[in-house]
Amino acid sequence: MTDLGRRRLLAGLSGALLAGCSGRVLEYSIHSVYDDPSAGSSGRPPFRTGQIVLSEAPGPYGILFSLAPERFFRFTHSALVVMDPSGEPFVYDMSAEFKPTLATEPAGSLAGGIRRTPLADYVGMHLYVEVFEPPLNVDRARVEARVKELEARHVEFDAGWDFSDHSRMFCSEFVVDALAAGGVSPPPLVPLTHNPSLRTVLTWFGVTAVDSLPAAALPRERRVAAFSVWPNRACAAAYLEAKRELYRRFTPDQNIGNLLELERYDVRLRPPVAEFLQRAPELYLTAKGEPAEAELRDRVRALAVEVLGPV
Amino acid sequence: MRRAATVAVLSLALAGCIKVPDRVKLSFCAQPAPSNHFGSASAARSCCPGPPRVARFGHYSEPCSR
Repeated sequence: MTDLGRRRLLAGLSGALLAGCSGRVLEYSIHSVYDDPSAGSSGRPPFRTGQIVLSEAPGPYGILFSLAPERFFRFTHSALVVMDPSGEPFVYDMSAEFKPTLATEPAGSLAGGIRRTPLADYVGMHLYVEVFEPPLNVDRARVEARVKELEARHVEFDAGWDFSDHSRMFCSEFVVDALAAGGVSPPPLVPLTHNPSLRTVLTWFGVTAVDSLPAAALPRERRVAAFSVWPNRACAAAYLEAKRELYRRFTPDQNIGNLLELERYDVRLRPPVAEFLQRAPELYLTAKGEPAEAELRDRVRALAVEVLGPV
Repeated sequence: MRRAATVAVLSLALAGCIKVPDRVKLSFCAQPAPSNHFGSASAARSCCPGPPRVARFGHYSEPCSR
């Protein structure tokens, strides 16, 4: 995101907070900003250290990883907000990127660690972002101290999603670890899929754990803000519902190759799946307010039948 | 410019080190209709055309074999 874009977004955020008081509705050319109606009416941005960020990035990996847990979760990535001394919110997350090496398996070429990104830039990298308050009574200073400690130790990214080994960490393991320093109990782990083809692919990516901690399984309180590339929250809800429909259709007999295709060492969405995910948010481009869950589900499923065929 | 090109070529060469096992290739096959729930059955033919691939992968099994 450009500096101009960042300024517009942050300025817009403050505007949206004020809009919550005055009843105006603000929209942005790149991202929308929504207020939690129960947020404070002070006019200040609602961000505080220790808040939990859940997000969806564009591309095939958000779909691939959303199929991995034994039950559906809406988000595949998590992070933490830490305010810098000047009062600007930064997002700390555990992330990795592909850097070609002599390794013969993908995990050997994934390198990463704790990343520190201004909130506005972080939003610019995603389709949809939600920010939540952490569980009540969390010691935010201790959370921040733990984040900084892990950052100083240069803890590396764990491509294997192994929650039992904290020498390396994956995204939600990092968040849970930092929140635990603030007094939050870790949530229970969630078993991973038994789908044979997906297990094969996950193993190739280095994931051999039988359970893990999906980002959206993190304990949290009320939502304080949401950002998306779409003009309203209904579009984002439709996108997440489309992900749920893909999950529903991915029964144990399905090959992961029905959704994704291999291109050299990378994967990409097959065209019908990409079209379905593109069109689902478009169902609500002109929506006013949020649709009822049942209506949303019916419309997204009807679109799935049209684009992907009946099940 | 030349440095960027060198890096790009080197990256491609190193990326070529990654081997895709047959079992992974099989997992990325699209299944034929009607068992494909994602509208990609038309892609199944290119991945699972029949006997030649069976021989190549050595352990072809359901759902790609027909």
